[in-house]
Amino acid sequence: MIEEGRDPAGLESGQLFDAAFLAAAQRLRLVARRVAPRGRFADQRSKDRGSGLEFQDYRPYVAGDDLRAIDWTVYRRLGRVFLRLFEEHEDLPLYLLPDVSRSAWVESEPRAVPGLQACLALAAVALGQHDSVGVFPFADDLAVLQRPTSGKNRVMELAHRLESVTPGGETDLGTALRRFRGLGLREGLVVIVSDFFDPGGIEAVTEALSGLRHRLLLVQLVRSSDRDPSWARGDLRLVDCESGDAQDVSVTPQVLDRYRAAYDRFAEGLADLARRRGAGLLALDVESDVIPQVADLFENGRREV
Amino acid sequence: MTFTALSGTALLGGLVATAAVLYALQRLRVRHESRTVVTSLFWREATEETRARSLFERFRHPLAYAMALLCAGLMLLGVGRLDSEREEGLRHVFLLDASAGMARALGETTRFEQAQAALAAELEQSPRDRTEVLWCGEHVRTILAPGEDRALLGPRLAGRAPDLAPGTLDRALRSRASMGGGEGAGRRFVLFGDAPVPPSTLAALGADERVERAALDPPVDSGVGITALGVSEPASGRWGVVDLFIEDRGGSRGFFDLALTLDGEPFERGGVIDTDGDRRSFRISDVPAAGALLEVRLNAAGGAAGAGLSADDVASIRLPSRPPIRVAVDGLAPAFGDAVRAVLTADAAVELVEGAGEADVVVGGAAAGRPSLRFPSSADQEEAILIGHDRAVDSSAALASAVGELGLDRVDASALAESLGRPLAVGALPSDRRSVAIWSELMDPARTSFLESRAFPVLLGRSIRWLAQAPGLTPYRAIGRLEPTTLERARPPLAAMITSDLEAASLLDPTTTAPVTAGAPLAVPSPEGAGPWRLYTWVLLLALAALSAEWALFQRGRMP
Repeated sequence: MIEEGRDPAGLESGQLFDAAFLAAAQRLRLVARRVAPRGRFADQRSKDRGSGLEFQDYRPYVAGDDLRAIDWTVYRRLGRVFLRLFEEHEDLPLYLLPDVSRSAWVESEPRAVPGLQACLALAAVALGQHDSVGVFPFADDLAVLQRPTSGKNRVMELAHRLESVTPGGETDLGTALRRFRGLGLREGLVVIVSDFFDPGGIEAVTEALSGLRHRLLLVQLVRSSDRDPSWARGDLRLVDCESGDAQDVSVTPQVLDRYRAAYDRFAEGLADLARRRGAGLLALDVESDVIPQVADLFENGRREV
Repeated sequence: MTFTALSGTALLGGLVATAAVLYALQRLRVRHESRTVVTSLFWREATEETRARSLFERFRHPLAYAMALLCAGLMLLGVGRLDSEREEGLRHVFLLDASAGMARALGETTRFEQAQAALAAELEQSPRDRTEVLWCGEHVRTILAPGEDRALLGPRLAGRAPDLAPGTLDRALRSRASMGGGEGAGRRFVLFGDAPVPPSTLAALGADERVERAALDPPVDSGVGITALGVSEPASGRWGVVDLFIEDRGGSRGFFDLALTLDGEPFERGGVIDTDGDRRSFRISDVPAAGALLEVRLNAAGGAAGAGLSADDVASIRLPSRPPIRVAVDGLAPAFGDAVRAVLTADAAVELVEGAGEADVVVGGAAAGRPSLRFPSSADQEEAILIGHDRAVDSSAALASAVGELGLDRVDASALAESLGRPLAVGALPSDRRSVAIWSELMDPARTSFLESRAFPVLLGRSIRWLAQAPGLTPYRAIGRLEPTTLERARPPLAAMITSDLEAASLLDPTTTAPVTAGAPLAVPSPEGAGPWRLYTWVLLLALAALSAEWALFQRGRMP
């Protein structure tokens, strides 16, 4: 529900998270399927074979291999030379891009709150696993709330930073992502937390994401009234909270059906985009608890992206 | 099925105009309610699709238009007062009873006001161009002609009270019925009042005419009052007195007594009383006929007298003035003169005087410019009896009237002619003053026996009265009664005579004093669908249901 004349305000202290929320976030495990070759050592497991601590497989020796990796026991038993392969552990840079455009704030229960809570949950997990986390709120442009940094004791600092987020203007994902690419960050996991209500529609979202080299997780902030506007009846002048554009609508069952069809096309386009990009997609219901929905991201405590 | 408030054309025009107005309103720019939304992205797509598929871009809600048209049409039908009970073309004649009986008080109101209210209600349901209203008081006149606005009736009836006269409802009904219905679509007479309508009047109506009586509250009057008052020749035969007749209703029940005054002085009633059911009559003998005003008034007994209708609580009549006729006898033969004096002395109406100068009538001698009874010789007068009458009267008519007035029909003319040996003739001549001339030979005892006949004193007495122009006695006037001898036979009401030559304005017909509505032969019709549940009532209810349905659909978001 949007309160007419409401002036979007930022978050109050303590509104974003509490101790129970953080404890629940710590139980989440984020596992990267693949990470970039650069980076420092960390607890993250990778399917790439390397010089980690946990044995994973054997392979025949070829010239140039590290002799320290030869399994001599196997050589004695079989007379052939094999190398022991170990799972290589590296860190996963996590780049959180929460949508702080005006549309996330104008409602009486702003969807920016659960969006930022989701960011904090994911950040808490990453920081707990010694991964670096960067936060880049965006609206019509990108801001750097926190450059990539790591350390478990950074959670509280990050929480305070998230609470300082202020409402932005119109959503412009294309501009925001161009600015993000310009930062030159090493490849990591980009999590975009947004309603994705870009004025250009799903096409603009698709185009904006097309040049992004990072792994991608889309967290779509949804509300039940997005698809079923039960409040809509009669002759209405609908004013877009971001652009200010007015749209005169005489609400009839037929118009409502067409509205739902348009919304479904948008949601389906977003899901299709995620599939094509090999990205994850989480439709986060802003009217429900955030942690359980974030937990669903991970299969048996793991999430592969 | 027709419309009582609007014509069919007006209603159809109204429907078309309503449809056009609603259509125009549908096409007007809608005043939208402003709402802020997170995004207008999907709404824009939804409305763009609407535009692309709409044949009439701005006429967006045909079903809503149909619903609004249904509501407006039903309300218009309700305003038009659709009524299946009114035949097309039927003419309505409303007769408002304005007789004295309608002045009857009923608590805070009167019978007449009740009738006016019923008339106004009936007018609301009747087509203006085919409805007329008649005032049926002392005279019948039109107070609302066909086509006149019904709003004119109120001012025309403002301050009006019923006439102090018997009702003319029946007369008006018969008059209108005899005029015919005009276009042949039939007529409907509605009576607003209590006056009875005799079956003969109903029988005289055409096949396409019907009479209804508007339903009024039943009268609660006790039906008491004076119904007849009059005078007659005294049974005693005395001159200068009259016998008085009074009739009332309700007196036998002891509701009241009668109080009589003569020129304001109490007058003892006395007399003979007859009682016939609820009717009571008095005959008071030898009331002095000196031109006094006799008033009869109900004397309340226990406060019940005259309840309701006050018009019949008092009645008055101016008694005739009958002084003795002064007659001078002169110039007659001694024997004949004695015979004449003997007859005149025996006549109570005659006073003999000496000298023609003091006399009203002169017998025998010089007339001295006064009416006279002369006895000329047959040699001087061709006719045996010659009457000198007023010049304003035709001689033939005067002669025909005199035969009875002078008692000539009592004279045995054949025997007299035989005695005289010549025929007798009667003639009349216009004259400056009245006179009667009779052959002196007829009075000669040697030639005729006329002086000894019974016709002589009659002829003499009546001639004296005719010559003196003694005022005739107007007997009692009672509505519906004949005067004065054939009381059994009813005749048409004498309404017009009541206030004309008698000062007795309070006499009413018995049916006015005692309402007869309950026993009237005319039944009050109760047409099917009348009352509060006429067809237009159902139409209005249907309109209300349509409006409720529209509101419910709007509340549920099924209508824009």
